Amino acid sequence: MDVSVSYNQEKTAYPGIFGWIFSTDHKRIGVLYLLSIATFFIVGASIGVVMRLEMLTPGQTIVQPRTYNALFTVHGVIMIFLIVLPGVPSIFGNFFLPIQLGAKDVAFPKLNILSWWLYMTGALIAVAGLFVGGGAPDTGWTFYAPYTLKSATNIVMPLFGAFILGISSIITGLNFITTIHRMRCPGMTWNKMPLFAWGLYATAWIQVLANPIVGITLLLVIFEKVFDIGVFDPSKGGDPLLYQHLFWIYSHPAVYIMILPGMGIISEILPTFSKKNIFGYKAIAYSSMLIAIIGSFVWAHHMFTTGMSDIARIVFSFLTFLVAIPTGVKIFNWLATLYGGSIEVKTPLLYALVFIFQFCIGGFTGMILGTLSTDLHVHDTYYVVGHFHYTMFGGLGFALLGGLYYWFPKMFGKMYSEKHSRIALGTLFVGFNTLYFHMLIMGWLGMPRRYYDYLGYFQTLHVTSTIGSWILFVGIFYMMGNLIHAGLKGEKAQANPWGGTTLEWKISSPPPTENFEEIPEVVYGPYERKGGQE
Amino acid sequence: MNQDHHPCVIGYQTHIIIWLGLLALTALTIVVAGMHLKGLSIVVALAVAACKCSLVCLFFMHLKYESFFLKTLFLVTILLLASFIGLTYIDIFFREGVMK
Amino acid sequence: MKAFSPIEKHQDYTGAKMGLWIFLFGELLLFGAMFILYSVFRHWYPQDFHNASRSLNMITGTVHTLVLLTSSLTMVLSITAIQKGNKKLCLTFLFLTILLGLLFMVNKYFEWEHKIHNGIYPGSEFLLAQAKGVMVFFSLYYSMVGIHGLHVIIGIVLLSWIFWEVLKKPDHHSRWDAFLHKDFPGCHLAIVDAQGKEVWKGEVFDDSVKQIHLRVSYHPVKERIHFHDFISLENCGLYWHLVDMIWIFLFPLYYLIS
Repeated sequence: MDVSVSYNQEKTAYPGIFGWIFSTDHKRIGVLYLLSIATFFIVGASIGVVMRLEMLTPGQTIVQPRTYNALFTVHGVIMIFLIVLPGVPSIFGNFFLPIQLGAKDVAFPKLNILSWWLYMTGALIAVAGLFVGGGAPDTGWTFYAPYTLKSATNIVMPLFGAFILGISSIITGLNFITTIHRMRCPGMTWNKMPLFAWGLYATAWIQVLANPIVGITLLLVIFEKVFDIGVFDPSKGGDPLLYQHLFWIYSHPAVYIMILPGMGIISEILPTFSKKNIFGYKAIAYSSMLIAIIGSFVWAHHMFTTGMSDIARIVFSFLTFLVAIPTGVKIFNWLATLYGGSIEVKTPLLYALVFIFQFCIGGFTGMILGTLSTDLHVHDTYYVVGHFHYTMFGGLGFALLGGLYYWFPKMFGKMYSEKHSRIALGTLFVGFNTLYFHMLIMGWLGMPRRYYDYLGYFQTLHVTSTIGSWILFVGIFYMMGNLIHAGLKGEKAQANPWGGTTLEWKISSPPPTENFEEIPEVVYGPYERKGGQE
Repeated sequence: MNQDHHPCVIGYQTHIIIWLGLLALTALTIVVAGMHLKGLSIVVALAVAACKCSLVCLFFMHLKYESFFLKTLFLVTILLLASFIGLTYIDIFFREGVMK
Repeated sequence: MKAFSPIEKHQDYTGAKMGLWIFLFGELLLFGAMFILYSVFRHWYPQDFHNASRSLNMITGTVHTLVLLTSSLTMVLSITAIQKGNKKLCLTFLFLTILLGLLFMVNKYFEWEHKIHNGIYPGSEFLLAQAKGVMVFFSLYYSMVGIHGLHVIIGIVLLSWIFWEVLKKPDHHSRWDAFLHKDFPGCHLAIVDAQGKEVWKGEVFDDSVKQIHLRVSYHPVKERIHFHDFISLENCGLYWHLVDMIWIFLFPLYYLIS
């Protein structure tokens, strides 16, 4: 095979779109995920805008209370299960993990495309569930028993969809673990592996080990609704708190599934644009594992107000604080990487800096929520909503976009306009902070979440927040338009436009189907700039 | 890390002996269950089940002949499950005024 | 031959096995979550669990256990057989395993049928009139044993597929594809022996040849059976043993606590 043919130009056994959806090429699968996730993101974001519109005035503005309940449920389900959970591992993990390891593909290419098919199946079942039966669920994305058991809306299909999405996630996880263990190129020891791969590795373990727990929990809820069993239903002797335990045993570590690979992206961007080696490679790498481990033991901090035992509340509050340590280790090492570097300010670096700023706000508010006494005050208020949007969107979302801007030239072989990218980022930044920072303030003042109505006292803050949502929405379309334009009409990108040192920058843009003509051999660390590396 | 270790072929006999052991343990657990040991019987039942599982795992699943890495991972998984149970129980044991 | 790249995926025996083990760890936690539920409810309702367990027949449970343990034995024997190069024996043991799996399911069917006939099933009037612990016991019993049964069914399907795969082997195929190579015109395909002498040769290519697909089938003799080729058999075996392991715990927890 002529190795110079790039992956997206190559002739395949199937024509047109079938050459993509039946492809086992990890790069094509990554692009498939990118397109599917972007589509769902537009839907989820639009629902968010509608919710903010409802909050423009007190009382009913545009939707019925019941519709509002459905809106925040569907917004949560789409954003969590369809976007941030698969997000970075499925898009960039698929595309870049094998290349960064110097391999030709992942360990199980067929399972890889199967995971995309499962993702689409799960997503379609979940989305179809909104329109059939009792209509869109109104329980919140957490599907807490016992309300979920009583609600007349269509809960079963979204739950089953989420279950299938879980299987897809497990398959991706075990694929990555095996790939990282078995397919690193000669010379690439664990301590010479790019930090993005480390992030994926930690994530993959959570995906494999924690996901089955929520899978079976959701399945049991389905059984409760369909077969009348009663393990979570108190009227049948069950215990709703056990649902919350099992749900969060997975869903809290899931937060780290989302954020760890995002942190990996930041660890790639910073040394590239600082033109120097990363500071504290091992600290960053091992802190990923530490976050994954400690993060698995903090789940019940979501349940401080539920009637859980006092001892459990104190223990989980304490464990929650421990997570801040490895996270802090990462932040300080990133800052130290920037220190003394010859910094080249380009869009991806700006995204990384915005990530650090916003993620710090998300992290610190998380500490406030992890404190038992303050949590009792702000639990189930807009403070929580603001907090997790700062971590998930302000953190992970901006890391994902940063990764997209960082790797876009490599993925599609085209350059985007630097000027327009910066304008887009500026709009996103202003919109995001206008939208969510006011939520933090409202929550602190006592505005409860998931209410379609509010006291006139909060109106100024709500209006400001809604205006932020418009700015953010414009920013999202500006950003997408900028990238689509670049993909269609952009200048051809060089193999290594940023001067990156990891293996993906040593091959042409876009990468050839086989990635490497010959499997490379690694001598230096991933971010070392010596020994003939430009 | 890349050397493929070839599994040593384990004879038919070994497996049949293990199977007989499993049957014996099954008999044991049934006998003990009939002896009305009160609180102890669940402990014995779980211990016997754990023994049986170890036999299946070590010999039938060849874990005994697998790499150190896989053995460690197996233990880590069990440990993880144990921690999940333990942390759930700090709620269950100390929860007040329910389910009595 | 540099222009040709074999389509055949790289065979990584250790990797394939590692992948399956990781999957099994996930399965352990899946059942582990249900065992957490079981232990909590048992902690809350010891007496109800004790009473409810009476309606489960210990003999049936013991038969289940014996059938599954024996199927595990035949499964592992079939792997030993293939490692020793005895394909026929391997297939025999595999067949026995599938049969025992089916027997387990039939046995299970009659057990459940009997129960449901007697009005003991989740949501039944009989159960709703019972103590809460009894209701939870049967909720858990049906969920855990049901999901275990689902795993047995999946295992039977997998084993039947693998039976077919082993039966087909060692008819082994390799495929090489070459696309768009500029050196094609003027060449011809040939098979050469060890000395480089042409044994067979095809026609000279013209410009129209853009792709070459080469497909080789070979039939290794008995001595060439290699355990690497049977990784899927071993992996199915691992899965089957896991299902057995889960039952080893389910049996005393449900059938032996009365």
